[in-house]
Amino acid sequence: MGKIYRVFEKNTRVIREPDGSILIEYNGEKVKTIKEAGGGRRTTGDTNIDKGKWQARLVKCWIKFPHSFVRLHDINLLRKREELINYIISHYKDEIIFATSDFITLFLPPNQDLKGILKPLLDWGFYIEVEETLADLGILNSILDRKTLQARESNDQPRLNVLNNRSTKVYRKYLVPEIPDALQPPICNICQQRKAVKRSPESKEESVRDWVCEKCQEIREMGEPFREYATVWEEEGVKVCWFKFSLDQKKLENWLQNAFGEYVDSFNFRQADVLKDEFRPLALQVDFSKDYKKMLKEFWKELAGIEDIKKPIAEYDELGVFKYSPELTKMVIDRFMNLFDEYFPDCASDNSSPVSLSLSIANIKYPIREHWRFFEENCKNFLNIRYLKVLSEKYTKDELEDIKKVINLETSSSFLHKLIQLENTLQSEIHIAVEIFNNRKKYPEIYEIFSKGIKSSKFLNLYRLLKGERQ
Amino acid sequence: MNRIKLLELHLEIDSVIIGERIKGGTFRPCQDTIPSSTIEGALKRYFGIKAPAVGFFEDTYEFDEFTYSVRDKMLNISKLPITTLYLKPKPPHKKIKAKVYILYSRGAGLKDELKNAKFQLGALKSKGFGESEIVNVEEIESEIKQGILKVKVFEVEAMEFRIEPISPVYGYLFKPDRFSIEGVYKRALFPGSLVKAPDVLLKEVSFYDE
Repeated sequence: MGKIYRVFEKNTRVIREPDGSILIEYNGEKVKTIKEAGGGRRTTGDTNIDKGKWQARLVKCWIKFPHSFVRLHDINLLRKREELINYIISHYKDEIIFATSDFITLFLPPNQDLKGILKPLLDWGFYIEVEETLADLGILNSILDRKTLQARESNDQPRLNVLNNRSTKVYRKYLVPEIPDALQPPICNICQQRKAVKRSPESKEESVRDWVCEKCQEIREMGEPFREYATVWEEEGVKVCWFKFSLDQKKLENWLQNAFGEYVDSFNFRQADVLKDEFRPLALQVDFSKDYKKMLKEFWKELAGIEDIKKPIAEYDELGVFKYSPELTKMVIDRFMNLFDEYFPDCASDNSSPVSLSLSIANIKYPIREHWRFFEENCKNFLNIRYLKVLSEKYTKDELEDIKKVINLETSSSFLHKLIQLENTLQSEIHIAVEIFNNRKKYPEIYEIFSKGIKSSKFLNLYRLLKGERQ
Repeated sequence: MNRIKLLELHLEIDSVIIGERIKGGTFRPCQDTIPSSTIEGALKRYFGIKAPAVGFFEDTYEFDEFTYSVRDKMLNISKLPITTLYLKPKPPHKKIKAKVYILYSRGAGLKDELKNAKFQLGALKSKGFGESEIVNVEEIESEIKQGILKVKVFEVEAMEFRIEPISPVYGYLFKPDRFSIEGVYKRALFPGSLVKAPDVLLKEVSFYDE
């Protein structure tokens, strides 16, 4: 990759020896050959450690924040994060291998200061969860951290023998803004890290004080994310559906590794294990992340012009909101499924899916921070839906496809409606199961999805959401 | 010695609100951890125990909402209704289960006193929230391991539990003064910190270089 070459170009020195031979010096180590620099590519075995002379760091950074979105303006923080990441990328084009809205991967020599690179984020109150691997160039890759930690956990001596002798290190660090040992009240309501020095104007309806620090106030004043939300929509008292796309880098690494393993196994190679062991998924992660960004752009392009669907932060494609209606909910889910098929046709689409969509439906007065809390929950599936006080469900893509086929059938509709009424009155899964079984001949399509193991609450809730069944 | 002796209190709670500091608006979020500031306050108030304590809820809870109206006694009117999140037992559990730890050296003599004791934890006690019962008290030995912390604990008290930060995530917890009128926010270790600590306080054990 050009980026890695350029990082070395910046950090190496060419030395011409009196005998005419050429040496390259990096981090105090001189080498004549690539093999001498990187060492072997194996990470396991009892002999032939094949240590290289040059080491580098692959640094994964998850950009997080302690902030709580008290008001709509506070989601400007997401815009600020985009701005800061773009700023950092523009200054460290080579060191940053790839970045998304909340994640950066860097390739760095051993002594380059990471905190210095990410300082703009820290200055604005973001904190960075870092997983850093220091290793010989011959074995350094984006999943070596996982391999090393697994080897330590399972005490895999052949692997540990090689990794330890090659001075492989895996660190977890938090880069956090400097905060004092103690803070006199009031504390900032939003970041909860600094002393609140300003009280933002209170609206007529609110009697509760709102204490905000200077930095958070500045973010608040970056502009109104979209005006209709707090004016027209709020006056209408509508229900809104906030939605967020996510790309989970750890799931992506897992899926790439498993998919490569399955691919290699399909050829019955004699050295399949060696191939699997030497797999380097970084380039694939870069491509996947690019495709993910393209998918989001395409999503918004397709929905452009629909008045009731908004992207509150123009620069941030992962977050959207619409006035809740069954039609728009169906449209958003359908677009996502179609685009996912188009961009990631063979990708996992269950709870191991790297890409997911979460929808959170509530009255417009419901605080945005609570929608966000739902979006930040772990254990995501392909599609995650929460309708406040009504339902909360997670779906794999296969489940969605099966259910959608059934709920789109005119013939099923009356029976699904009946099942919902039964569920509302009896609150009993067993009764629903009996009813489905008793009607298996008349409504075989419903019995079929039920017998596949899809819980009745899943298809009844999706029916409620997409068909507008009254709660 | 790579172990620490602790007093482990098993709590059962009907419903509880441990409020977050965010005060804006009429919607109050609540936490799903037990900060050391909260449990220490409760132990001091109900049992007179002045000792560092840490705790957490086990996976037996879910969020729900409660709406109430604050009454202005002077004007004899109700203010705008406030909605607060609270934790309630997650079916099939009938109670929220929580564990609280006190240093054995500071709580050994209290074992009998604490067993089956009832007290209240968190906010809106007058509305019945936070009723807790200590259903069991055990002396345990916990091994010190590297891992990811799952409690919120004052930084200055962490060492007493042999919690040693390797790479900390900091936040603030409120420490009242001795009259419980005013106080100061003290820096605290937050869940997610990479630490060496008693393994009962870890979300997961880890194997990172230090």
